[in-house]
Amino acid sequence: MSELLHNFGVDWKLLIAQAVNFFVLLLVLWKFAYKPILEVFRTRRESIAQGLRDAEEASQRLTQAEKIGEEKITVARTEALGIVNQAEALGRTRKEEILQEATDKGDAVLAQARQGAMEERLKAEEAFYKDAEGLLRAGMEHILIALPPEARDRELTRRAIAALKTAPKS
Amino acid sequence: MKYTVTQYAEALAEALAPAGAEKRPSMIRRFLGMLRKNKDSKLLAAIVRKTERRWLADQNLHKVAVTSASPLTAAVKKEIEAVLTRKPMWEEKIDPAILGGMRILVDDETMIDASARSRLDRMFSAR
Repeated sequence: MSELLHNFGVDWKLLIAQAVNFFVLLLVLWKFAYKPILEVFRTRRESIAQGLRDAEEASQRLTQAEKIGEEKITVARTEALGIVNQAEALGRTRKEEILQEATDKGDAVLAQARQGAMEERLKAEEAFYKDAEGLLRAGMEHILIALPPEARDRELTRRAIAALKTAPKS
Repeated sequence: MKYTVTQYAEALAEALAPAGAEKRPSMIRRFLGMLRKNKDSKLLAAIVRKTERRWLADQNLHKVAVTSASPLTAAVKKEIEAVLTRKPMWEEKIDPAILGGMRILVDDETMIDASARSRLDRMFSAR
């Protein structure tokens, strides 16, 4: 066997030395090349897995955010509709109040105007009667002055004497 | 002692009645002096009225003050005299402003207003 190996040119010592070299080299490579590369691969894999997880999580968050957003939009829309309805109702009520107020004010102005017109009419009537009274009195005075004294004083004298008869005597 | 208006009036009338016309001014002066002394000068107007009334009664007279728009006729005076209990002592006044009729004031006490002016006033104040 040894000879056969020798015939094939195998040198045991060299083979062992080469084997030792090989293992030393293998050991060195294992220690300083294979392990760091594996470590790099592992780190890279973990980083990619983390990235995928993050992406998944971001996707889920996005979906959730979209859902929340839709919910909020729905709520906001409902609230806005409620506010609009409320504003419409308030507007209708206010409109009725304003109309009622305007009607009341109009009635008050009308009543005041009627009262003013009535007062003016009464004043005018009063002034007319006063003037008529003055004219009538002046006319009667003129007639009395123009009458003959006997005719004018007859009835008044009769009344004076009648009053004198009934007056208490001193 | 304080005297009443009636007491003063009676005293003055009794003092003046028997006195002659020449003594009356001096008696009146003494009477006024007494009023001042008694601090009753403010009663003078009332005393004079009362004395005059007493004098008119003693003389059986009525003081009849007539205000009319035109002079009184004799017939009207006679009608007035007929209703009086004493003889009238006339005081006549013409006032055209009363427009007609008359106002009669007897003894400064009884006023009869039968003037056209007062009738017009009543007529127009009734409104």
